[in-house]
Amino acid sequence: MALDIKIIADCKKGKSYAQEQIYDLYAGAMLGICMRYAKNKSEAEDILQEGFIKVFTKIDKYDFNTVNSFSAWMKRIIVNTALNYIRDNKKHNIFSDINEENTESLSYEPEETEQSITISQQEILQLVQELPEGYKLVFNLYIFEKYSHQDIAIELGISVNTSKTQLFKARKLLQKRIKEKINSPKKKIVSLV
Amino acid sequence: MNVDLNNIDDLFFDSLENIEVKPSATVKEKIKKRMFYHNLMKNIYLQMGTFAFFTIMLTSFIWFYTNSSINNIAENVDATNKTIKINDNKTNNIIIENTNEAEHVNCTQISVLNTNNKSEVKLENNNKLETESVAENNISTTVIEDTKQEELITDNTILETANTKQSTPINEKQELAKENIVVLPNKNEILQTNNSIKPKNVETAFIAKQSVSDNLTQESITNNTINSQTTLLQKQTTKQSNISFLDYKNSVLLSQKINTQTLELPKLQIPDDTVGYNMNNELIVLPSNRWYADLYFSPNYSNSNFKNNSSEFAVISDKLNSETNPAFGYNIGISAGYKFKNFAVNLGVAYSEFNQKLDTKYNEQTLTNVNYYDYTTHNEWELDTTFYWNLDSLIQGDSVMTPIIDSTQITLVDSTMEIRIDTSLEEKTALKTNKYKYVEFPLTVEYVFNRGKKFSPFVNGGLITGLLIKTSTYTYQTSDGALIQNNNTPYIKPNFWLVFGAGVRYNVNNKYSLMVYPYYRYNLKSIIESTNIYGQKINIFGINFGVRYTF
Repeated sequence: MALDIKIIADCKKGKSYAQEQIYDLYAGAMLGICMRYAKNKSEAEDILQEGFIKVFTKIDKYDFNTVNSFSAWMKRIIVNTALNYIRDNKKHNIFSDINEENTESLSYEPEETEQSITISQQEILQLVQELPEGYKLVFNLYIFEKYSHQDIAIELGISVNTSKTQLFKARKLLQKRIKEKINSPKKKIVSLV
Repeated sequence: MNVDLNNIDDLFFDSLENIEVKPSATVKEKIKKRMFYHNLMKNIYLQMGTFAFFTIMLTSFIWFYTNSSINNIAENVDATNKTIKINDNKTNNIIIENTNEAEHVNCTQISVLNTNNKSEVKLENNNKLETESVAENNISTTVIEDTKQEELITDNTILETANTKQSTPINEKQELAKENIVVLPNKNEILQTNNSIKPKNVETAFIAKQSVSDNLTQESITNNTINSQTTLLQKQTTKQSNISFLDYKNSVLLSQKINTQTLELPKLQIPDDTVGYNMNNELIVLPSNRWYADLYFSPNYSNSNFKNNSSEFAVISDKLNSETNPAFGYNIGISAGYKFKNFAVNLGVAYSEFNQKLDTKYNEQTLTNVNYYDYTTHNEWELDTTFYWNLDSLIQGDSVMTPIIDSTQITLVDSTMEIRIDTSLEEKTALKTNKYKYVEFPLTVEYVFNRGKKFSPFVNGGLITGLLIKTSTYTYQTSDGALIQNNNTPYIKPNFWLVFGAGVRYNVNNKYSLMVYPYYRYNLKSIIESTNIYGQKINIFGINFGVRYTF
């Protein structure tokens, strides 16, 4: 279903049918984004709910003439909502800063061998969800939202080096967990006769 | 998906960039619900804001319009020192009076030509008149010695003329203009003339003053004495003159016109906020307390008007209209307001309960337990105990004795008791009360007639925003004719009424007043959502009883 500019116009007027159509059109994709930032689906749905409320209440600030980028505008709101949600729900600093000198030695080291093993999308999503919050935020913003470290530093209120460190650690951790997942023996189902 | 550990970034990006997850159905419902309340509150704020804006604009306009005709505002009346501070913006004459109520009255009266200043005049006990004048850019104080007063008669009635025109100028910008005669009796004494002018309102001491017309000469004023044998007013050339009274108790100066030929003194009525009149007969208003709080209770009588949203359901709405009758409810509330001149703006919160009697016929299902006996007939053969031997001799043709048992058929009747339920429908008449409970926020404007008097009629009107908090209603079910508690009607939480009222307020004193006023409330929109097959408006008539505290 394509998004009609009339729907956005009606949504600006607060018409519920238009809000419903926008929700139906984008809820799946937006929940996918939320899932990357949340720990589980329940938390992701909370973020999605907050995000759509913001979309519907702030839609009058959206420029009519740029309807093609409506999804990007909405995605931006959802990501911001997710960031705020994580900030609001964390009591302590989620970023473990490291010294600048240490960051110089950090570099991404590719694995020596390529392994042709398959892993499902669900498992990959789970790996992201299980990342520590600090890693997860930086990893998401860098990989999916295409933020630079400078942008991430501004957005999250951290230093550039911290951003780099968090990304490095996130990659390493993901590598490690993928290996563990690959090497772990599959569970066998034993039926009692 | 193939795992390339050398390129983690691409692995995750490719896998999750366009991932879609179907949300639970509850998310959509929650969003719809929150958006409904968001829009609801937005509408309420918008409407209240609009109404408040227009109210403020209207009252500002009225205030400006009415205030432009008021030239003198008495800013302060000090009952202890007997001083009255007057802000005179426009007129040239301010009359300020003072007295010592304990002994013989030491008094004076001046007329001050004051163009654009505030003036305060205070008479000390040593008969020195201090005049403070606040000019545009300077403040000066001038003391006028009492010796400059030409004549002082200390009798039961004192006549004093103060020709301040000949005395020291108070201020360069001030010019003293008119001469006046002041009649100052002692406290509790009545001003007497041979024409028997006897003011009725003499419970407190008063000052009587006569404003003298311009064409009187100084000589005529000076020679004009007043006591029991002489008449001050007979030398007046004008037909009417002013006589002013200072009510010590309420610190109010009042001026009334008096007919100088008939010498009839009008009955005195002292408005709360009226000090008196200046020599131009313009009102001098004493600012009274502006803020007030009301506490009120109101029995109400509400009626519902049902209207079908589609003609095919006209039968239902007609039936509801015919079967729903007005009933008594009540509301109780508090409000606060601000008054200026004859207007007041009022905002409050109230709890209201509207009731209607539902008088309808319905089918009541009655279940009855009935005992049944089920009779079962069993046909049985019963063997009796008689037998006989059939003897058979061994000879051919002889008989062989064998026992034969005889039997007879008998009939037995068995019975079992069963309990069965019998159902019957009985048409009954229901008398139920439908209840609607609201928290309300009235915003009203009031206009008072006869302001400042003991009885002040008033009219008011405005907008009431109500939030439905609970309903207890019954509905007639057409399918089986049963009357059931109604839980399905989609009532709208907020609603709006226009309210119009008129009543009277009894001012007990300057602080408290009692009020009673009937009012009518017109429901602006249906209390049921438009998706329902019929709409419902509740219009209300009530009588408000309340008490007002002014502060």
